[in-house]
Amino acid sequence: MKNKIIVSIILFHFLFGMNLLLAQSDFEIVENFKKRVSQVEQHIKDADSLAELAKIDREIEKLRSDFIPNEELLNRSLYPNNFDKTFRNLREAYQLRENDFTQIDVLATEVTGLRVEVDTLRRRNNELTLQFEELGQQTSARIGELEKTIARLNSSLKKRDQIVMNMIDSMLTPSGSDGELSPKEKQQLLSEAEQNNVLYHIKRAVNDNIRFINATELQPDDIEELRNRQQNFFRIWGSVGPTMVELYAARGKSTNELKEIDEAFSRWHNELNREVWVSIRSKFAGNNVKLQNFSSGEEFTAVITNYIGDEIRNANTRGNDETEATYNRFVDSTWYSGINSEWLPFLLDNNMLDEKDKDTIEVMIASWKDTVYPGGINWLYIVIAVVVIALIIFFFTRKPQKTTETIISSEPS
Amino acid sequence: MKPIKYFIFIVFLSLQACSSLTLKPADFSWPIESVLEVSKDGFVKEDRHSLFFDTKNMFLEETEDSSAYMNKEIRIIRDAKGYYYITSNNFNNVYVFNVYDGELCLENKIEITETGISKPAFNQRPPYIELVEGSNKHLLSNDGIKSED
Repeated sequence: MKNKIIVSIILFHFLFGMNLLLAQSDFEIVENFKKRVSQVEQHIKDADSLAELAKIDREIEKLRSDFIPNEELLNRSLYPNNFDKTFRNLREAYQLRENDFTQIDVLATEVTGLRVEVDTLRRRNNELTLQFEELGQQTSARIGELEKTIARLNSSLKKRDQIVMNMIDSMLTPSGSDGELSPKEKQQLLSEAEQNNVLYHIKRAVNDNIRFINATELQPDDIEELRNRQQNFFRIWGSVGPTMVELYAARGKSTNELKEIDEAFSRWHNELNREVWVSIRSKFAGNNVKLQNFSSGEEFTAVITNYIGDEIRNANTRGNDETEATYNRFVDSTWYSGINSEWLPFLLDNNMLDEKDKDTIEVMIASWKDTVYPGGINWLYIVIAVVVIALIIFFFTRKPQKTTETIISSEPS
Repeated sequence: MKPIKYFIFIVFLSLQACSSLTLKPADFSWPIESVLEVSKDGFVKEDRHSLFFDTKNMFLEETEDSSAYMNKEIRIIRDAKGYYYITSNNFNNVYVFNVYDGELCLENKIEITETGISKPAFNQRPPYIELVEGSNKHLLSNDGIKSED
Protein backbone atom coordinates (compact mmCIF):
# COMPACT_ATOMS: atom_id res chain seq x y z
CA MET A 1 0.00 0.00 0.00
CA LYS A 2 2.76 2.34 1.03
CA ASN A 3 4.71 1.54 -2.13
CA LYS A 4 1.65 2.31 -4.23
CA ILE A 5 1.38 5.76 -2.63
CA ILE A 6 5.05 6.50 -3.31
CA VAL A 7 4.75 5.34 -6.92
CA SER A 8 1.62 7.48 -7.33
CA ILE A 9 3.41 10.56 -5.96
CA ILE A 10 6.39 10.01 -8.25
CA LEU A 11 4.09 9.45 -11.23
CA PHE A 12 2.13 12.59 -10.39
CA HIS A 13 5.29 14.67 -10.17
CA PHE A 14 6.59 13.15 -13.38
CA LEU A 15 3.40 13.88 -15.28
CA PHE A 16 3.13 17.36 -13.79
CA GLY A 17 6.76 18.04 -14.66
CA MET A 18 6.25 16.75 -18.17
CA ASN A 19 3.20 18.93 -18.50
CA LEU A 20 5.17 21.92 -17.36
CA LEU A 21 7.94 21.00 -19.74
CA LEU A 22 5.53 20.63 -22.58
CA ALA A 23 3.88 23.92 -21.75
CA GLN A 24 7.19 25.69 -21.54
CA SER A 25 7.92 28.46 -23.99
CA ASP A 26 10.73 27.73 -26.47
CA PHE A 27 12.00 31.18 -25.68
CA GLU A 28 12.29 30.24 -21.99
CA ILE A 29 14.06 27.00 -22.87
CA VAL A 30 16.58 28.90 -24.95
CA GLU A 31 16.98 31.60 -22.32
CA ASN A 32 17.34 28.98 -19.62
CA PHE A 33 19.97 27.21 -21.67
CA LYS A 34 21.87 30.45 -22.22
CA LYS A 35 21.68 31.21 -18.51
CA ARG A 36 23.04 27.77 -17.60
CA VAL A 37 25.83 28.11 -20.16
CA SER A 38 26.77 31.49 -18.70
CA GLN A 39 26.81 29.96 -15.22
CA VAL A 40 29.12 27.17 -16.37
CA GLU A 41 31.41 29.68 -18.07
CA GLN A 42 31.54 31.69 -14.86
CA HIS A 43 32.26 28.55 -12.82
CA ILE A 44 35.12 27.71 -15.19
CA LYS A 45 36.55 31.19 -14.67
CA ASP A 46 36.07 31.04 -10.91
CA ALA A 47 37.54 27.56 -10.46
CA ASP A 48 40.67 27.69 -8.37
CA SER A 49 41.80 24.08 -8.46
CA LEU A 50 41.78 21.05 -10.68
CA ALA A 51 39.42 19.31 -8.25
CA GLU A 52 36.91 22.12 -8.61
CA LEU A 53 37.30 21.98 -12.36
CA ALA A 54 36.45 18.28 -12.30
CA LYS A 55 33.05 19.18 -10.80
CA ILE A 56 32.46 21.56 -13.69
CA ASP A 57 33.19 18.75 -16.10
CA ARG A 58 30.22 16.91 -14.62
CA GLU A 59 28.17 20.12 -14.74
CA ILE A 60 28.81 20.44 -18.48
CA GLU A 61 27.75 16.86 -19.06
CA LYS A 62 24.57 17.40 -17.05
CA LEU A 63 23.79 20.55 -19.02
CA ARG A 64 24.17 18.63 -22.23
CA SER A 65 21.95 15.78 -21.08
CA ASP A 66 19.33 18.23 -19.76
CA PHE A 67 19.02 20.03 -23.06
CA ILE A 68 19.66 17.28 -25.56
CA PRO A 69 15.87 16.96 -26.15
CA ASN A 70 15.91 20.61 -27.27
CA GLU A 71 18.96 20.28 -29.48
CA GLU A 72 17.06 21.06 -32.65
CA LEU A 73 15.39 24.12 -31.15
CA LEU A 74 18.71 25.33 -29.80
CA ASN A 75 20.44 24.72 -33.12
CA ARG A 76 17.93 27.03 -34.75
CA SER A 77 17.86 29.59 -31.98
CA LEU A 78 21.44 30.06 -30.86
CA TYR A 79 22.48 32.03 -33.89
CA PRO A 80 25.37 32.40 -34.73
CA ASN A 81 26.15 29.43 -32.45
CA ASN A 82 24.41 26.11 -32.22
CA PHE A 83 24.07 23.40 -29.64
CA ASP A 84 27.29 21.53 -30.43
CA LYS A 85 29.31 24.68 -30.93
CA THR A 86 28.18 25.98 -27.55
CA PHE A 87 29.51 22.84 -25.89
CA ARG A 88 32.70 22.96 -27.96
CA ASN A 89 33.24 26.50 -26.69
CA LEU A 90 32.62 25.37 -23.13
CA ARG A 91 35.05 22.49 -23.58
CA GLU A 92 37.69 24.82 -25.00
CA ALA A 93 37.28 27.20 -22.06
CA TYR A 94 37.47 24.21 -19.73
CA GLN A 95 40.59 22.92 -21.46
CA LEU A 96 42.29 26.30 -21.30
CA ARG A 97 41.55 26.57 -17.61
CA GLU A 98 42.78 23.03 -17.07
CA ASN A 99 45.99 23.92 -18.93
CA ASP A 100 46.35 26.96 -16.68
CA PHE A 101 46.16 24.74 -13.62
CA THR A 102 48.53 22.21 -15.14
CA GLN A 103 50.94 25.00 -15.91
CA ILE A 104 50.48 26.42 -12.44
CA ASP A 105 51.23 22.97 -11.01
CA VAL A 106 54.35 22.72 -13.14
CA LEU A 107 55.41 26.21 -12.12
CA ALA A 108 54.66 25.43 -8.48
CA THR A 109 56.86 22.36 -8.79
CA GLU A 110 59.56 24.45 -10.41
CA VAL A 111 59.24 27.07 -7.70
CA THR A 112 59.57 24.38 -5.06
CA GLY A 113 62.66 23.09 -6.84
CA LEU A 114 64.06 26.59 -7.10
CA ARG A 115 63.31 27.24 -3.46
CA VAL A 116 65.30 24.15 -2.53
CA GLU A 117 68.06 25.32 -4.83
CA VAL A 118 67.98 28.79 -3.29
CA ASP A 119 68.22 27.26 0.18
CA THR A 120 71.17 25.17 -0.95
CA LEU A 121 72.83 28.21 -2.49
CA ARG A 122 72.10 30.27 0.60
CA ARG A 123 73.82 27.64 2.75
CA ARG A 124 76.68 27.47 0.28
CA ASN A 125 76.95 31.27 0.29
CA ASN A 126 77.06 31.29 4.07
CA GLU A 127 79.85 28.73 3.98
CA LEU A 128 81.71 30.72 1.34
CA THR A 129 81.21 33.94 3.29
CA LEU A 130 82.70 32.30 6.35
CA GLN A 131 85.58 30.94 4.28
CA PHE A 132 86.03 34.37 2.70
CA GLU A 133 86.12 36.01 6.11
CA GLU A 134 88.65 33.45 7.30
CA LEU A 135 90.71 33.94 4.15
CA GLY A 136 90.38 37.69 4.60
CA GLN A 137 91.73 37.39 8.10
CA GLN A 138 94.47 35.09 6.85
CA THR A 139 95.18 37.42 3.92
CA SER A 140 95.31 40.42 6.21
CA ALA A 141 97.66 38.50 8.43
CA ARG A 142 99.74 37.47 5.42
CA ILE A 143 99.81 40.99 4.01
CA GLY A 144 100.91 42.26 7.41
CA GLU A 145 103.50 39.52 7.55
CA LEU A 146 104.65 40.33 4.01
CA GLU A 147 104.95 44.00 4.83
CA LYS A 148 107.02 43.10 7.87
CA THR A 149 109.17 40.82 5.71
CA ILE A 150 109.66 43.60 3.15
CA ALA A 151 110.59 45.99 5.93
CA ARG A 152 113.00 43.43 7.38
CA LEU A 153 114.46 42.78 3.91
CA ASN A 154 114.88 46.49 3.28
CA SER A 155 116.50 46.94 6.63
CA SER A 156 118.78 43.97 6.02
CA LEU A 157 119.75 45.28 2.58
CA LYS A 158 120.42 48.64 4.12
CA LYS A 159 122.69 47.11 6.76
CA ARG A 160 124.46 44.95 4.21
CA ASP A 161 124.97 47.94 1.88
CA GLN A 162 126.35 49.90 4.77
CA ILE A 163 128.78 47.08 5.62
CA VAL A 164 129.91 46.80 2.00
CA MET A 165 130.33 50.57 1.79
CA ASN A 166 132.32 50.51 5.03
CA MET A 167 134.39 47.70 3.59
CA ILE A 168 135.20 49.76 0.49
CA ASP A 169 135.79 52.82 2.59
CA SER A 170 138.22 50.95 4.81
CA MET A 171 140.30 49.92 1.82
CA LEU A 172 140.95 53.57 1.07
CA THR A 173 143.96 54.42 3.22
CA PRO A 174 144.94 58.07 3.62
CA SER A 175 146.79 59.10 0.49
CA GLY A 176 149.31 61.78 -0.28
CA SER A 177 148.63 65.40 -0.84
CA ASP A 178 148.16 64.90 -4.57
CA GLY A 179 145.60 62.11 -3.99
CA GLU A 180 147.75 59.60 -5.82
CA LEU A 181 148.26 56.17 -4.19
CA SER A 182 151.74 54.89 -3.71
CA PRO A 183 152.64 51.49 -5.22
CA LYS A 184 152.53 50.01 -1.75
CA GLU A 185 149.07 51.43 -1.10
CA LYS A 186 147.91 50.16 -4.46
CA GLN A 187 149.20 46.71 -3.66
CA GLN A 188 147.51 46.84 -0.24
CA LEU A 189 144.21 47.95 -1.85
CA LEU A 190 144.32 45.14 -4.34
CA SER A 191 145.18 42.47 -1.80
CA GLU A 192 142.44 43.65 0.59
CA ALA A 193 139.92 43.67 -2.22
CA GLU A 194 140.81 40.14 -3.17
CA GLN A 195 141.07 38.93 0.41
CA ASN A 196 137.66 40.32 1.39
CA ASN A 197 136.04 39.35 -1.90
CA VAL A 198 134.87 42.96 -2.17
CA LEU A 199 133.94 42.94 -5.85
CA TYR A 200 131.61 39.98 -5.32
CA HIS A 201 129.94 41.71 -2.37
CA ILE A 202 129.47 44.96 -4.29
CA LYS A 203 127.98 43.22 -7.29
CA ARG A 204 125.76 41.12 -5.08
CA ALA A 205 124.57 44.18 -3.13
CA VAL A 206 123.69 46.10 -6.30
CA ASN A 207 121.85 43.14 -7.85
CA ASP A 208 119.93 42.49 -4.62
CA ASN A 209 118.79 46.09 -4.57
CA ILE A 210 117.60 45.79 -8.18
CA ARG A 211 115.66 42.62 -7.33
CA PHE A 212 114.13 44.36 -4.34
CA ILE A 213 112.97 47.24 -6.51
CA ASN A 214 111.44 44.87 -9.07
CA ALA A 215 109.66 42.80 -6.41
CA THR A 216 107.94 45.65 -4.59
CA GLU A 217 105.80 48.67 -5.35
CA LEU A 218 107.40 51.61 -3.68
CA GLN A 219 106.16 54.89 -2.32
CA PRO A 220 107.99 58.20 -2.87
CA ASP A 221 109.62 58.01 0.58
CA ASP A 222 110.94 54.49 -0.08
CA ILE A 223 112.29 55.52 -3.47
CA GLU A 224 113.87 58.61 -1.96
CA GLU A 225 115.67 56.45 0.59
CA LEU A 226 116.74 53.92 -2.05
CA ARG A 227 117.92 56.70 -4.32
CA ASN A 228 120.04 58.21 -1.52
CA ARG A 229 121.48 54.83 -0.75
CA GLN A 230 122.22 54.17 -4.42
CA GLN A 231 123.86 57.56 -4.87
CA ASN A 232 125.93 57.11 -1.72
CA PHE A 233 126.99 53.65 -2.77
CA PHE A 234 127.82 54.86 -6.27
CA ARG A 235 129.81 57.77 -4.87
CA ILE A 236 131.93 55.43 -2.71
CA TRP A 237 132.38 52.99 -5.57
CA GLY A 238 133.37 55.98 -7.74
CA SER A 239 136.22 56.72 -5.36
CA VAL A 240 137.70 53.25 -5.59
CA GLY A 241 136.44 51.79 -8.86
CA PRO A 242 138.74 53.60 -11.32
CA THR A 243 141.78 52.78 -9.20
CA MET A 244 140.77 49.13 -9.15
CA VAL A 245 140.39 49.14 -12.95
CA GLU A 246 143.81 50.67 -13.28
CA LEU A 247 145.37 48.10 -10.95
CA TYR A 248 143.69 45.18 -12.64
CA ALA A 249 144.80 46.44 -16.03
CA ALA A 250 148.40 46.99 -14.86
CA ARG A 251 148.60 43.44 -13.58
CA GLY A 252 147.06 41.95 -16.68
CA LYS A 253 143.90 40.81 -14.90
CA SER A 254 140.48 40.79 -16.48
CA THR A 255 138.48 43.94 -15.81
CA ASN A 256 135.19 42.33 -16.86
CA GLU A 257 133.96 42.01 -13.26
CA LEU A 258 134.62 45.69 -12.68
CA LYS A 259 132.71 46.58 -15.84
CA GLU A 260 129.83 44.41 -14.68
CA ILE A 261 129.71 46.38 -11.44
CA ASP A 262 129.57 49.66 -13.37
CA GLU A 263 126.74 48.29 -15.50
CA ALA A 264 124.92 47.04 -12.40
CA PHE A 265 125.09 50.50 -10.84
CA SER A 266 123.74 51.97 -14.07
CA ARG A 267 120.93 49.40 -14.13
CA TRP A 268 120.14 50.15 -10.47
CA HIS A 269 119.78 53.82 -11.32
CA ASN A 270 117.53 53.09 -14.31
CA GLU A 271 115.41 50.63 -12.36
CA LEU A 272 114.83 53.21 -9.68
CA ASN A 273 113.68 55.72 -12.29
CA ARG A 274 111.48 53.12 -13.98
CA GLU A 275 109.98 52.18 -10.62
CA VAL A 276 108.97 55.81 -10.10
CA TRP A 277 107.00 55.92 -13.35
CA VAL A 278 105.50 52.44 -12.77
CA SER A 279 104.33 53.50 -9.31
CA ILE A 280 102.78 56.70 -10.68
CA ARG A 281 101.01 54.79 -13.46
CA SER A 282 99.70 52.18 -10.99
CA LYS A 283 98.39 55.03 -8.83
CA PHE A 284 96.26 56.17 -11.80
CA ALA A 285 95.27 52.59 -12.60
CA GLY A 286 94.13 52.14 -8.99
CA ASN A 287 91.48 54.81 -9.68
CA ASN A 288 90.47 53.20 -12.97
CA VAL A 289 92.40 55.69 -15.10
CA LYS A 290 94.21 53.71 -17.75
CA LEU A 291 97.23 55.52 -19.18
CA GLN A 292 99.79 54.54 -21.76
CA ASN A 293 103.27 53.58 -20.57
CA PHE A 294 105.77 56.34 -19.85
CA SER A 295 109.34 56.27 -18.62
CA SER A 296 110.41 59.92 -18.58
CA GLY A 297 109.12 63.35 -17.70
CA GLU A 298 108.49 64.22 -21.36
CA GLU A 299 106.59 61.00 -21.99
CA PHE A 300 104.64 61.46 -18.76
CA THR A 301 103.60 65.00 -19.79
CA ALA A 302 102.70 63.87 -23.29
CA VAL A 303 100.59 60.94 -22.05
CA ILE A 304 98.72 63.08 -19.50
CA THR A 305 98.04 65.96 -21.91
CA ASN A 306 96.93 63.56 -24.65
CA TYR A 307 94.56 61.83 -22.23
CA ILE A 308 93.03 65.13 -21.10
CA GLY A 309 92.84 66.38 -24.70
CA ASP A 310 90.91 63.26 -25.71
CA GLU A 311 88.54 63.68 -22.78
CA ILE A 312 87.88 67.34 -23.68
CA ARG A 313 87.20 66.42 -27.30
CA ASN A 314 84.90 63.56 -26.32
CA ALA A 315 83.03 65.56 -23.66
CA ASN A 316 80.27 66.54 -26.09
CA THR A 317 79.63 63.00 -27.27
CA ARG A 318 79.43 61.55 -23.76
CA GLY A 319 76.85 62.13 -21.10
CA ASN A 320 77.49 64.67 -18.36
CA ASP A 321 77.55 61.98 -15.69
CA GLU A 322 80.24 59.96 -17.44
CA THR A 323 82.34 63.05 -18.22
CA GLU A 324 82.14 64.27 -14.64
CA ALA A 325 82.92 60.81 -13.26
CA THR A 326 86.03 60.54 -15.45
CA TYR A 327 87.13 64.04 -14.46
CA ASN A 328 86.61 63.31 -10.76
CA ARG A 329 88.50 60.02 -10.97
CA PHE A 330 91.44 61.64 -12.69
CA VAL A 331 91.66 65.06 -11.08
CA ASP A 332 90.13 64.80 -7.65
CA SER A 333 90.83 61.17 -6.76
CA THR A 334 94.27 60.82 -8.37
CA TRP A 335 95.97 64.04 -9.37
CA TYR A 336 95.21 66.16 -6.32
CA SER A 337 94.98 63.20 -3.92
CA GLY A 338 98.37 61.65 -4.53
CA ILE A 339 100.31 62.67 -7.59
CA ASN A 340 100.40 66.42 -6.93
CA SER A 341 101.25 66.17 -3.25
CA GLU A 342 103.42 63.04 -3.14
CA TRP A 343 105.01 62.41 -6.49
CA LEU A 344 105.38 65.84 -8.14
CA PRO A 345 107.76 67.20 -5.44
CA PHE A 346 109.85 64.05 -5.81
CA LEU A 347 109.88 64.31 -9.62
CA LEU A 348 110.79 68.00 -9.51
CA ASP A 349 113.46 67.52 -6.82
CA ASN A 350 115.08 64.74 -8.81
CA ASN A 351 114.85 66.59 -12.12
CA MET A 352 112.61 63.93 -13.56
CA LEU A 353 110.00 66.56 -14.47
CA ASP A 354 110.34 70.26 -15.39
CA GLU A 355 108.28 73.06 -13.92
CA LYS A 356 107.23 73.81 -17.50
CA ASP A 357 105.83 70.27 -17.90
CA LYS A 358 103.96 70.57 -14.62
CA ASP A 359 102.44 73.91 -15.73
CA THR A 360 101.42 72.40 -19.06
CA ILE A 361 99.57 69.62 -17.28
CA GLU A 362 97.86 72.00 -14.86
CA VAL A 363 96.72 74.27 -17.70
CA MET A 364 95.21 71.22 -19.41
CA ILE A 365 93.45 70.23 -16.18
CA ALA A 366 92.02 73.77 -15.82
CA SER A 367 90.80 73.64 -19.41
CA TRP A 368 89.22 70.24 -18.76
CA LYS A 369 87.46 71.63 -15.69
CA ASP A 370 86.01 74.48 -17.78
CA THR A 371 84.68 71.91 -20.23
CA VAL A 372 83.16 69.68 -17.57
CA TYR A 373 81.79 72.48 -15.36
CA PRO A 374 81.09 75.41 -17.70
CA GLY A 375 78.76 77.03 -15.13
CA GLY A 376 81.66 78.68 -13.32
CA ILE A 377 82.45 80.91 -16.31
CA ASN A 378 78.84 82.01 -16.67
CA TRP A 379 78.76 83.11 -13.07
CA LEU A 380 81.97 85.06 -13.63
CA TYR A 381 80.42 86.81 -16.61
CA ILE A 382 77.31 87.58 -14.58
CA VAL A 383 79.35 89.07 -11.72
CA ILE A 384 81.37 91.20 -14.16
CA ALA A 385 78.18 92.35 -15.89
CA VAL A 386 76.59 93.31 -12.57
CA VAL A 387 79.68 95.29 -11.53
CA VAL A 388 79.79 97.14 -14.88
CA ILE A 389 76.08 97.98 -14.70
CA ALA A 390 76.48 99.21 -11.12
CA LEU A 391 79.38 101.47 -12.18
CA ILE A 392 77.35 102.89 -15.10
CA ILE A 393 74.36 103.61 -12.85
CA PHE A 394 76.64 105.20 -10.28
CA PHE A 395 78.26 107.37 -12.98
CA PHE A 396 74.97 108.66 -14.42
CA THR A 397 73.34 109.32 -11.08
CA ARG A 398 76.31 111.34 -9.77
CA LYS A 399 76.70 113.69 -12.75
CA PRO A 400 73.38 115.67 -12.62
CA GLN A 401 73.79 116.39 -8.91
CA LYS A 402 77.11 118.10 -9.56
CA THR A 403 75.57 120.22 -12.34
CA THR A 404 72.74 121.36 -10.07
CA GLU A 405 75.16 122.30 -7.34
CA THR A 406 77.25 124.24 -9.86
CA ILE A 407 74.18 126.16 -11.12
CA ILE A 408 73.07 126.97 -7.60
CA SER A 409 76.50 128.12 -6.58
CA SER A 410 76.84 130.27 -9.71
CA GLU A 411 73.57 132.18 -9.08
CA PRO A 412 74.07 135.71 -7.58
CA SER A 413 73.15 135.86 -3.95
CA MET B 1 -17.86 49.95 -68.75
CA LYS B 2 -14.72 51.90 -67.84
CA PRO B 3 -14.28 50.38 -64.31
CA ILE B 4 -14.44 46.88 -65.74
CA LYS B 5 -11.69 47.74 -68.20
CA TYR B 6 -9.51 49.12 -65.41
CA PHE B 7 -10.15 46.04 -63.28
CA ILE B 8 -9.19 43.69 -66.11
CA PHE B 9 -6.09 45.75 -66.78
CA ILE B 10 -4.96 45.64 -63.12
CA VAL B 11 -5.62 41.90 -62.83
CA PHE B 12 -3.68 41.35 -66.01
CA LEU B 13 -0.71 43.33 -64.70
CA SER B 14 -0.78 41.52 -61.34
CA LEU B 15 -0.86 38.12 -62.90
CA GLN B 16 1.90 39.06 -65.30
CA ALA B 17 4.07 40.41 -62.44
CA CYS B 18 3.51 37.30 -60.35
CA SER B 19 4.04 34.88 -63.12
CA SER B 20 7.24 36.57 -64.26
CA LEU B 21 9.34 35.35 -61.29
CA THR B 22 8.37 33.41 -58.21
CA LEU B 23 10.77 32.08 -55.58
CA LYS B 24 9.25 29.22 -53.69
CA PRO B 25 9.04 27.57 -51.36
CA ALA B 26 9.99 30.30 -48.89
CA ASP B 27 10.07 30.01 -45.12
CA PHE B 28 10.00 33.19 -43.08
CA SER B 29 9.61 31.49 -39.72
CA TRP B 30 11.57 32.52 -36.69
CA PRO B 31 12.80 29.60 -34.58
CA ILE B 32 11.67 31.21 -31.36
CA GLU B 33 9.69 34.22 -30.35
CA SER B 34 11.32 37.46 -29.40
CA VAL B 35 10.44 39.29 -26.23
CA LEU B 36 10.87 43.00 -26.76
CA GLU B 37 10.60 45.88 -24.34
CA VAL B 38 8.58 48.82 -25.52
CA SER B 39 10.53 52.05 -25.37
CA LYS B 40 9.12 55.20 -23.81
CA ASP B 41 8.25 56.35 -27.34
CA GLY B 42 6.29 53.17 -28.02
CA PHE B 43 8.83 51.55 -30.33
CA VAL B 44 10.33 48.07 -30.24
CA LYS B 45 13.55 46.94 -31.86
CA GLU B 46 14.51 43.38 -32.72
CA ASP B 47 18.20 43.18 -33.44
CA ARG B 48 18.56 39.65 -34.76
CA HIS B 49 15.96 40.11 -37.49
CA SER B 50 16.41 43.85 -37.89
CA LEU B 51 12.86 44.74 -37.08
CA PHE B 52 11.77 48.12 -35.78
CA PHE B 53 8.23 49.43 -35.47
CA ASP B 54 5.81 51.55 -33.48
CA THR B 55 3.45 49.64 -31.12
CA LYS B 56 1.35 52.50 -29.83
CA ASN B 57 -1.63 51.91 -32.14
CA MET B 58 -1.75 48.23 -31.21
CA PHE B 59 -1.86 49.03 -27.48
CA LEU B 60 -4.51 51.68 -28.17
CA GLU B 61 -6.56 49.14 -30.12
CA GLU B 62 -6.25 46.55 -27.34
CA THR B 63 -6.75 48.76 -24.28
CA GLU B 64 -8.22 51.98 -25.66
CA ASP B 65 -5.61 53.72 -23.60
CA SER B 66 -3.06 55.82 -25.47
CA SER B 67 -0.41 55.34 -22.76
CA ALA B 68 -0.92 51.62 -22.21
CA TYR B 69 2.37 50.77 -23.95
CA MET B 70 4.41 52.32 -21.13
CA ASN B 71 6.71 49.84 -19.37
CA LYS B 72 5.34 46.94 -21.33
CA GLU B 73 6.94 44.19 -23.34
CA ILE B 74 5.56 42.40 -26.36
CA ARG B 75 6.08 38.87 -27.63
CA ILE B 76 6.45 38.48 -31.35
CA ILE B 77 7.05 35.58 -33.69
CA ARG B 78 6.84 35.12 -37.45
CA ASP B 79 5.39 32.07 -39.15
CA ALA B 80 6.54 30.33 -42.28
CA LYS B 81 4.26 32.42 -44.50
CA GLY B 82 5.74 35.61 -43.12
CA TYR B 83 2.91 36.74 -40.82
CA TYR B 84 3.88 38.37 -37.55
CA TYR B 85 2.02 37.26 -34.41
CA ILE B 86 2.12 39.76 -31.61
CA THR B 87 0.66 39.77 -28.13
CA SER B 88 1.45 40.99 -24.69
CA ASN B 89 0.65 40.10 -21.09
CA ASN B 90 -3.04 40.62 -20.26
CA PHE B 91 -3.96 41.12 -23.93
CA ASN B 92 -7.19 39.39 -24.94
CA ASN B 93 -6.05 39.00 -28.53
CA VAL B 94 -3.21 37.93 -30.70
CA TYR B 95 -2.58 40.39 -33.53
CA VAL B 96 -1.53 39.00 -36.89
CA PHE B 97 0.26 41.42 -39.17
CA ASN B 98 1.51 41.28 -42.69
CA VAL B 99 4.15 43.45 -44.26
CA TYR B 100 2.98 45.90 -46.88
CA ASP B 101 4.92 48.80 -48.31
CA GLY B 102 7.03 49.50 -45.24
CA GLU B 103 4.17 49.02 -42.78
CA LEU B 104 2.77 46.25 -40.62
CA CYS B 105 -0.82 45.89 -41.65
CA LEU B 106 -3.30 44.05 -39.45
CA GLU B 107 -4.22 40.77 -41.11
CA ASN B 108 -6.21 39.27 -38.28
CA LYS B 109 -7.06 39.85 -34.66
CA ILE B 110 -7.49 36.50 -32.92
CA GLU B 111 -9.40 36.64 -29.67
CA ILE B 112 -7.98 34.18 -27.15
CA THR B 113 -9.80 35.15 -23.97
CA GLU B 114 -11.93 37.91 -22.51
CA THR B 115 -10.00 38.04 -19.24
CA GLY B 116 -6.54 38.66 -20.60
CA ILE B 117 -3.83 36.21 -21.47
CA SER B 118 -1.62 35.48 -18.51
CA LYS B 119 2.09 35.12 -19.27
CA PRO B 120 1.72 34.32 -22.95
CA ALA B 121 4.49 32.73 -25.04
CA PHE B 122 4.76 31.82 -28.71
CA ASN B 123 6.37 28.68 -30.03
CA GLN B 124 7.08 27.83 -33.64
CA ARG B 125 5.12 24.68 -34.47
CA PRO B 126 5.10 24.54 -38.28
CA PRO B 127 2.84 25.14 -40.02
CA TYR B 128 1.29 26.82 -36.96
CA ILE B 129 2.23 29.13 -34.17
CA GLU B 130 1.65 27.79 -30.69
CA LEU B 131 0.42 30.18 -28.05
CA VAL B 132 1.22 28.96 -24.54
CA GLU B 133 -0.89 30.43 -21.79
CA GLY B 134 0.03 28.78 -18.53
CA SER B 135 -0.86 25.15 -19.10
CA ASN B 136 -3.16 26.01 -22.01
CA LYS B 137 -1.91 25.90 -25.55
CA HIS B 138 -3.48 27.14 -28.75
CA LEU B 139 -2.37 26.44 -32.29
CA LEU B 140 -2.78 29.55 -34.42
CA SER B 141 -2.58 30.43 -38.07
CA ASN B 142 -3.11 33.76 -39.74
CA ASP B 143 -6.76 32.81 -40.13
CA GLY B 144 -7.38 32.14 -36.46
CA ILE B 145 -7.27 29.39 -33.82
CA LYS B 146 -6.77 25.94 -35.30
CA SER B 147 -6.91 23.88 -32.15
CA GLU B 148 -6.74 24.23 -28.38
CA ASP B 149 -5.53 22.03 -25.53
